[in-house]
Amino acid sequence: MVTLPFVLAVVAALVVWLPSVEPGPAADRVRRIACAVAAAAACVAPGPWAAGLVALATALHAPGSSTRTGTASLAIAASCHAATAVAGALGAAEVALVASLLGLALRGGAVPFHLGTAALCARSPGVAIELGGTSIAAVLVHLAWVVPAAPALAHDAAPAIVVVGATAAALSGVASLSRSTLRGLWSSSVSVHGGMLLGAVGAAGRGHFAGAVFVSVAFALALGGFGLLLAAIEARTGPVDLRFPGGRSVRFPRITWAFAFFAAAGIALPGTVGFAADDLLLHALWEESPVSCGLVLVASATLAVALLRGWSAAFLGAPARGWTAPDLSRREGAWVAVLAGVLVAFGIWPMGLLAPTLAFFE
Amino acid sequence: MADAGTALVLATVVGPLAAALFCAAWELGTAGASERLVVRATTGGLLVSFLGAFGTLVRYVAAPVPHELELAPWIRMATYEVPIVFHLDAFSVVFSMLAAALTLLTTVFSATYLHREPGFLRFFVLLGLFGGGVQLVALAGALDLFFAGWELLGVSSALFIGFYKDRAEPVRSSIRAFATYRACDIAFFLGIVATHESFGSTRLSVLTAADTLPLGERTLLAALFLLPALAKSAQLPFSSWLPRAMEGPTPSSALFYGSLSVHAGLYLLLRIHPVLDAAPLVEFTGVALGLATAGYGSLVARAQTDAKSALAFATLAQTGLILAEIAAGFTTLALIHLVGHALLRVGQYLRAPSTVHDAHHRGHAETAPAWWELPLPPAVRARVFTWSLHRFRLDEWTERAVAPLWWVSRVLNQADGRLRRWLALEGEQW
Repeated sequence: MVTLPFVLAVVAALVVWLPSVEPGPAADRVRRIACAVAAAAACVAPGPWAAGLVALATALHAPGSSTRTGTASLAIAASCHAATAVAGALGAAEVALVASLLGLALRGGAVPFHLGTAALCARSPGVAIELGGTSIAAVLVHLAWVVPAAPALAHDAAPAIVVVGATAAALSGVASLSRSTLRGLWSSSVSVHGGMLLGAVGAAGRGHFAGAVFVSVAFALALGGFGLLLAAIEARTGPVDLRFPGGRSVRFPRITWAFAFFAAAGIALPGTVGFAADDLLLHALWEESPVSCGLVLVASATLAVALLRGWSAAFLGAPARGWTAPDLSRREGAWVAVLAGVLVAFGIWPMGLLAPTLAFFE
Repeated sequence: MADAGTALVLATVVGPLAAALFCAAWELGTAGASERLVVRATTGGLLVSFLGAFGTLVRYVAAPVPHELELAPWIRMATYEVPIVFHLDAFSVVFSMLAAALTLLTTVFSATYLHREPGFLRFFVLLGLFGGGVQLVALAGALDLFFAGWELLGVSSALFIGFYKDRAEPVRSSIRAFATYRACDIAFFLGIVATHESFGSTRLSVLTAADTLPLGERTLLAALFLLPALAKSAQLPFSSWLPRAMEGPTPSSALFYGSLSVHAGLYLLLRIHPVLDAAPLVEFTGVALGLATAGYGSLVARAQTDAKSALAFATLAQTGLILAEIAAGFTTLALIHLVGHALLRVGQYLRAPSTVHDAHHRGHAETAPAWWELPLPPAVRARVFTWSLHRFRLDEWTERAVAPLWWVSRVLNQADGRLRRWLALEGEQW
C-alpha cells in the first residue's frame, strides 16, 4: 500500500517544481530542485530531522523573493521551523508546538501574519506557489511529530487555534470582495486558505488529522494552479485590473476556463479534493467550535463571490484587441492537466488519500 | 437485481457528466470540437441518463418500496462516514425522470436554437454539468451527495446567466444569483454538519427520526434547510435574482428558471420533510413566505412588459404556492404541482421568443372579464400597479441589506493598506 508520506512527498515536490513552467535563470532552477528535494525528504524523514528539512526548504524559498517583507517573512518562518527542530531534539515539545504553529501561520498567510505572503503573492508569485508545496511537508511534520509530542497542550489549545484560524479566514474572505487586482485576489485566496489551514491544524490537536492533510493538499494544488494561470495571463497581457471588464476570454479561452476551474477548486467545487477537504474540515471544526464552522463557511462564500467577480472582470466583457500572444502553451497545458487530474482524482476518490492518512496516524 | 438497479442509477448520473467532460477535453485537446460532435456527445450522454431514469422509474413502479442503493464509501473514518448512496422513492424517481426528460428535450431544441452562436460548446458542456448535477440532487441518498449536485447546479446556473459574456448586465446578474446561492448555502452546509451531529449520519433515511430531537434543535435544523431552499427557488426575500436570470439563452432559462433549478429548493424541502414536519414554527414560516411570494409574483407578473419577465414572476407565483403546500404537509400534492408546473413552464419559455409571431398568427390573448378584476378603489389599484411596476423595490431592499458587508470589506481593505503604508511596505523592492 502507498504510504501517506510518499503521496505527500510527490505532491509537495510537484507543487514546488510548478513555477518552472516559466523559463527562468539556471540558479533559480537549481534552488527550486533543492527546495523540492528538501520538501519531499521532510515528508519521509523522522522527527526533528523532518522539521529541520522544512526549515531548510523554507530558507531556500528566500533567495527567490524580490521583496524585503517577503524575505523577512520567509526567514522568520524558517526560524520557527528550525526552532521546532531544535526544541523537538531537546525534548521541549511545547516550545516545538508553538514554533511550528507560528511557522504554519506565517507561511499560510493567515491574518495577522499575512503581510509577508501578500508581498510574495504581489511580487514573487513563483515563490508563493512553492510555499504551498512546502506547506504540505510542514503540516505533515506538525501532525506526525509535533502534536503527538505535546498532546496535552495541543488538545487544550485546539479551540483557541480553531477560532483564530477561522476568524482569520473570515476576515480575509470579506476583504477579498474589495480587491481591485487579480494578484490582490490571489493574495486574499491564499490568506483565506491560510486561515483554514491554521484552523485545521488546530483541530488536529484533538485527533482530526484527515481534515488538515486534505486542506493542505487542496491549498497547494488549487492555489498552485491559480498562481500558475495568473502568471500565464500576466505574462501575456500585463497586470490585471479588476475595476474594468478585461475581455480576455476570446483571445485566451483555455487560460480563461483553466483559471475558472482552479478558482472553483479553491472554493470546494464538487468533484475536486477541495470539496472533500471542506467536508472534513467543517465536520472537525463543528466539534470544536460551531461558530468557527460558520466563520469558515462565511470565508468560503465571500471568497467564492469575489473569485467569480474577479474572473468575470478579468476575462469576460467585450473582446479586447491588441494582444498577439498565444493561448496556453503545450508545456503550461500539460502542467494544468496534471494538477487538475490530481485535484479531480482525490476529489472523486478521496479514500485514495484518506486511507493512507488513517493508516499513518494509527 | 440490485446490480441492474445500481447500473441504471449510475448511468443516470454519470451519462451527462461524461458527455460534458468529453466535449471539454476534446476542445482543449484538439482546439476544434465541431457542433455536430458536441451535440451528438451531449445528446448521447443525456439519452443514457434518460434511459437510466426511465429504467429506474419502471423498476420502482414494479416494486414501489422506498430503498437505498449503496455503492461505496466516499469518505469513511472511525467516527464519520459519507456514503455514495442513492435513495429511491416516489419523489426521487419522479423528479429524476422529469429532469432527464426535460434536459434531453431542451438539448435537442438548443442544437437548432443556438446553431452557429458563439459559445455553442460552452452551452452544451454546461448542459452536461447541469444534467449530472440535477440527477445527483434527484437521487442522492445522503445530504453531502445532495450538496455536491446542488453546488453543480449553482455553478452551472451562474455561468448560464452570464452566457452572453460580452455584455455587462448578464455578468452582473450571474454574480448576483451566485452570491445569493452561496450566502444561503452557508446555512445548508451547517445543516448538513448539524444533521451528522444529531443523527450520526447524513443519510436521508435517518431524518425520519427528526421528531425525537428536542424542539429547539429540530427547529434550528429545519430553518437551516429552509434558507437555501428559499434562495434556490427564489422565494421572498431572495426573489430578486430570478428576473435578472433571464439574461441567459432561452433554452437555459426554460430548463433552469422555468422547470428544474428553480424547483430544486422545493425538492430539497420534499427530501427533508420529516424535519420540516417536526418544526411547526418553520412550517408556518414556509407557508407564510410561500403565500407572500405567490402574491408578489402574481401582482408583479401582471405589470411586466416583456414575455420572459412576466414568465419569471408567474413562475414565482407558482413556486410560492408549491412551497406553501410542502410546508403545510401536502407533499404529494406539491410533487404533482411541481411536475405540472415544470412541464408547462418549459414549453412557455421555449415559446417565449415567438411571442410576437404567435400574437400575429393566433391573435392576442383575451383580456380578463370585468368580474375578474379585484373590487379595489381606483387610487389603491393605481398604487398597487405602481408598486408592481417597480417590483416592490425588492432590488433596492436587497442592496441595502448587503451594503454593510461591502462597507466592512472596504474598511478591512483600507486598514490593510494603512498598515502597509505604516510599515513602509508599499512599492518596496528588494
